[in-house]
Amino acid sequence: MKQWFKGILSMALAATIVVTGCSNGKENADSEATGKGGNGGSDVVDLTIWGAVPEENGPQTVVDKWNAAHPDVQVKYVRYINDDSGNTKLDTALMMQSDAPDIFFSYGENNLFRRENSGMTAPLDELISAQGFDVDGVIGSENLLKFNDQIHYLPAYKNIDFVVLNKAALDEIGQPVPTDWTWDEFADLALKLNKDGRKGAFVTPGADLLIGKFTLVSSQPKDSFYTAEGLSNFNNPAMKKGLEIQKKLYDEGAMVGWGEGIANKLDPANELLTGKAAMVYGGAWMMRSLKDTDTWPRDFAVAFAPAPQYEKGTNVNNGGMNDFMSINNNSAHKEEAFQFMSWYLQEGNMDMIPGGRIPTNKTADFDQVTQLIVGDKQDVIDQESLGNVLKADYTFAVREKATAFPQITTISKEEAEKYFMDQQSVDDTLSAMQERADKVIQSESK
Amino acid sequence: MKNGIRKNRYKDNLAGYLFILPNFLGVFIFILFPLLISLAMVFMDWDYLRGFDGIDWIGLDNFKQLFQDDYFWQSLKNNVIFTGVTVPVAMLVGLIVAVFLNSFVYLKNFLRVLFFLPYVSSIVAISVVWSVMYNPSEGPINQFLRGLGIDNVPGWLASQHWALPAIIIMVAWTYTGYTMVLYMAGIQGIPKDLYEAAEVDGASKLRQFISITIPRLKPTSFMIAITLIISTFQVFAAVSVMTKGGPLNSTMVLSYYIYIQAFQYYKVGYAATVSWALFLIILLITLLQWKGQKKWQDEF
Repeated sequence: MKQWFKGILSMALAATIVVTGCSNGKENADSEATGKGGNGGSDVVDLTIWGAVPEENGPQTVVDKWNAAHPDVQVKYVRYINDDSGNTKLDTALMMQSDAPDIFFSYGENNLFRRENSGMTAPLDELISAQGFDVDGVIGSENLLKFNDQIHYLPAYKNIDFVVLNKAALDEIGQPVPTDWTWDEFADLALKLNKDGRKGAFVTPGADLLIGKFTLVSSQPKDSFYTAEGLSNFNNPAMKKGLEIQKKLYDEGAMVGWGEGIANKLDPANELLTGKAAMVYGGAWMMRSLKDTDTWPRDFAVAFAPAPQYEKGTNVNNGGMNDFMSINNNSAHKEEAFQFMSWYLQEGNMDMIPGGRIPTNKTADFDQVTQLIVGDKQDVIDQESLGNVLKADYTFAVREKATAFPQITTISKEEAEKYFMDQQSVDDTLSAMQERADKVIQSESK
Repeated sequence: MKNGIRKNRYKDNLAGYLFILPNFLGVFIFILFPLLISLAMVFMDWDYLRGFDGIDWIGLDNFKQLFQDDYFWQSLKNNVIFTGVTVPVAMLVGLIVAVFLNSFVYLKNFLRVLFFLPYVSSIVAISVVWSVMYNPSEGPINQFLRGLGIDNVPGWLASQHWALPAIIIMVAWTYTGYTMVLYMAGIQGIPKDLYEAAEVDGASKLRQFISITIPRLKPTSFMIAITLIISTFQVFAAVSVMTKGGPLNSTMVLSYYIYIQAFQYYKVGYAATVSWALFLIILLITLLQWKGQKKWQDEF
């Protein structure tokens, strides 16, 4: 009995030693870091940035440029993968403050809101006024959503969705590149482009890219998934229309089947560039692949059309501001971090353009941006239609509400899946979506 | 005098405790402690990104939700089908292969390694390769079936009827090597004179297999059944890589459902509840098997 007790005691002692050892180490590191900051910049400040763009597609050039010009503030870029596990990794790092970044990018409102709500993002208003950053002139206040009356992020990338077409296939049937069109016209064109061995269109199957969602966003750009009362907006004629168009394209064989697309993890760039689909729904993020003639050698050029609309007359785009840059609320170097952010947003991110990341900077010259994107690939990229798509004036989708967003996104996908796989009618689909999403929203906002 | 012995024994014991200390600490920090926390989480609704402020004690609400949750029952059903088919198939095929390898073929060692390889390969790599083979329109499996003249080939991972069987086939294939090796060892432990006596009595090879080999392998079978049931009930990687639970939730299993709840919806409390339910189910099955084992052993 006594020995048993002693055994436990010695173990507890050892455990305490280990634990205190760890915490000591951390405290030392912290005090060291603050010491550096307190010295008034005589020592070198190290900043870490987490982003999801691969180093070689711009970030490395950006960071190298900054480091060369600012020997006292050295920046290191760390890439994380923007998927569930990658985002969890970033969340954990921010929460535990172990190897946490000073600046981080969040992709999509869903990830941003979660980090804001958890107190991981630093409020920026003070830094903005202290360093004289012109929010209105560079980003535009209308493009920002405040959290607790403070700015917690600045967007670095204007994502524009568009349709990419195989120009040779268009010429074959004698059709011009569409400029102002609806999803009905998209479906018609897909059927015309469809032929043996090449599907007419491709829209990535999955939760984010349902045609039903595009039509819904087009009919109500602000908080498309929610009604004014805060419940779900899925049982909506616009949603119905989009889902029906998508089903028709599957049934007529103009798109690869829903199940097969998911099971094989088909990718729009690959479908288009290998000639398996004549047009795909994509966005500016695809530019990297479209320019890559080594992976996809090809003998046709690609042209660009704006995202189709629910009804004629609108020009809504499902893209919008993205690459939300925030400063870690626990960072010891917020001022230096904001200096970098401010530089990045105004000139630094020009080096991201060749990789397809369109800057949010309002003063950027879009002809120059187009030129930078296309580079020397004029033979495979139709510069004129790309320029038109990039510089057009869009109403972007705005997402302010986020109650149970991941859950209702999954619900809409699951119910649409049942419809596409002939398990239920479109009306049942809509009412099931509505009912299930409402339930989740209600239990979440309780 | 007596005191000296006691002192010595104490010293010995201390050394012993120190030897197990590193291991015990590891178990305590990485297994026991999380286990207790997860038990506590069953009664919480915890938004863990907000740290300890995010904890909301909700009593038994998680259990109420569990019983009303169609996804839980659907996942459990898929789990039962998965285990119920995978384990017997892997055991049967493994046994047959073991018998053949033991007596009838050349290149015994080479073939044994060949059959065992899938079991020691990374399940993620295997899943990726099988996903390519299962490709409904261009995959080799369906091209082969079409070559045989079958027009209505299965959609495999793209179809809600075939996705679960597709995963079962793959997982059973990986476990066949494991069952085969254990059965080979078991067969070699059966005394040869039993077979000789049977031969003298004029029993055919099939008769010998049924009346000598199978009964003599009961302990081996029992061991394999327990380990396989426990591990197949926790199937995760294959589902995560190949189907993500789809299409139409036809391959949703409990461990993947736990993952979705915890890391996509951030409902760690509910995820902990489902994990404990999974644990209790496996515990129950194992206890039943132990009871059954006693009965089996009584026969000898």
